[in-house]
Amino acid sequence: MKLQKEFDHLFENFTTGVVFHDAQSQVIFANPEALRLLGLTIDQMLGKNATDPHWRFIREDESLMPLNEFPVNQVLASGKPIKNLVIGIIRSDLTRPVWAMCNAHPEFDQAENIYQVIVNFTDVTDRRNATDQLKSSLQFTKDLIGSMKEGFIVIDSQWIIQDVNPAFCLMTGFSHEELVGQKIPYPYWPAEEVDYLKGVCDAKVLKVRESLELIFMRKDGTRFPIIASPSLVKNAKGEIVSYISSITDISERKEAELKIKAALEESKSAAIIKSRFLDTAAHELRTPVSAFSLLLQLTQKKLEQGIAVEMPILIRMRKQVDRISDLVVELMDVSRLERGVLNLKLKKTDIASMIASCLDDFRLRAPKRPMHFIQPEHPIEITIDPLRINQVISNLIDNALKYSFEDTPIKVSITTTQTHLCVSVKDQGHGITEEKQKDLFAPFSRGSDDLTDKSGGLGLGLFISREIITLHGGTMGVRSTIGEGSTFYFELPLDKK
Amino acid sequence: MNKTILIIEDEEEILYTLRDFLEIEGYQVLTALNGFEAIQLLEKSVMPNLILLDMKMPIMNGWEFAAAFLAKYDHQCPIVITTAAGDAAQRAKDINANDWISKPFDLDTLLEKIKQNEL
Ligand SMILES: [Mg+2]
Repeated sequence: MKLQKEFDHLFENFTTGVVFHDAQSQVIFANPEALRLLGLTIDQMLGKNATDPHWRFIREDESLMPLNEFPVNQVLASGKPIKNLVIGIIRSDLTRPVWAMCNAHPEFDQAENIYQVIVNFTDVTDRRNATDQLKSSLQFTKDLIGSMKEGFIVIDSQWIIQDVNPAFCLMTGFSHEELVGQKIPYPYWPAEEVDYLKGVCDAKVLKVRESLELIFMRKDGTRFPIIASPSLVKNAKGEIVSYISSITDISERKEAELKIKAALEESKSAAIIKSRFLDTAAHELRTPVSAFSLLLQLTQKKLEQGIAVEMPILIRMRKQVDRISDLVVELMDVSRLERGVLNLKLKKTDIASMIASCLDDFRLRAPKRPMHFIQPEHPIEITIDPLRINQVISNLIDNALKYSFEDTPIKVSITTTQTHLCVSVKDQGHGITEEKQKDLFAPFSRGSDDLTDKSGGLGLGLFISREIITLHGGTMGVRSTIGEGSTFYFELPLDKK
Repeated sequence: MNKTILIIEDEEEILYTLRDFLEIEGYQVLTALNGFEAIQLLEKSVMPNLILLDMKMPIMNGWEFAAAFLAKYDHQCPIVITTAAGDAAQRAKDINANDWISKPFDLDTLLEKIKQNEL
């Protein structure tokens, strides 16, 4: 009896649950820890058979455990002990299972028959929960890295790639399999990064938080800029075991930066062109203003000294005032065009007679120049702003006269197609190089230092002309051969019948 | 005898107005539309009493003319430059001119400058 009491006492203080089963798997003993784990009283336990359907155990993977896998049944069936089996105990009084590490062994009688099975359980619920949490947080981290737009790469201390995320594969064009297990440096890994990181490891710097801009190469050989932010992973002893680097593709950012830079340059050069233009405009205005002022002063002197003021001096003054007002009109046109407020006053016009009378004006001004006009037999009515189109034609004839030799002819012609009317003005001047042709129609293109160009004006005539033609839905251009001359032309859409 | 002034100026209207004015004032006036014309003119005419020199001109500008003139004739004739540039005094010094007059100027100022510098 004393022995039995001591035996009970011994098991009472065990932190391991102990259950004795007989050869028929009926419970013949259970200590308090076993009762606590199973959530049963000793009366509920004793005499219970392991095949009792009220027992509900689950496997480590949380699937239901069949009766034949119960530790006692396994031991009875095989005669062999089982070790460290993790069992989940489903209890009606708890929402979550109790986890236990289970050992069981058989006891044999002298005839080598099992006469009892001793099962012990250790509560591992807390440990199991901690593991679950770690596992789910690892999975979470993995999912997070997997879903990130940024690339991630993990490399161990032997410079072997341990892992890359899908974003890294996407940006480099390599598959996961192609990268993982590769030793660095491989041809696609930038040497700078390797040197940098090796340097960091060698110096045993504990923290790496500096990011660096590098150029990466894709599988197809194309390059792209990235930002790498490496950090070291150390073990408990402080040794570097691996490093993780996030890799951000910054090609879009770089492109945007370049675009902004280009736009800035463009606006800067536009500002330079404008300021140069203003300089030219001031210079062009100053000359006739100062000539006009000198003429006025001269007239005054003459009057003071009783010298006759003759007609020619008044004509000279008038010429300077005309020059000033032409410049002002030109500036106003450009300003209107730039603001998009130059409005056309459209009217049905006989364009051939308009050109003929324009040419007559020029014949008066330059009586020695031969001017030919080739026009279709039938009069052409077209809806245009006659004043503006007249301005364009005058500009073209004026240029042709200015930029060709004194005795060479000017030829103006009108031709038509089914849909369009074409007016061209041909001279036999020097011709214009292809390079200069590009700049001809650009506003403000004439430099202020271009003193060899004695034609005066702001160099805006062709710009204004082309804008007027464009407003009419037409096009304007030039054909030119060096040494032979130039032909300026414009096309206007004919009225629909 | 009337004094002679050589005006070198590429703006025709300004050139001829200055000529007309100086003629009224009793000067003999020679004109040239650029430095090259002036050099050619000087070879076949008397040395003027003063040269009125524009700076910005095609073919041969004021700087080039001054250099060529001084090399050939030294300071035989005073040079007064006419310029629209802000640093007229500096320009005059640069090319060894005797004096300068800022553009735009009026006829009285011009006459005063000529009287101060002419030979
Ligand atoms: Mg000039």
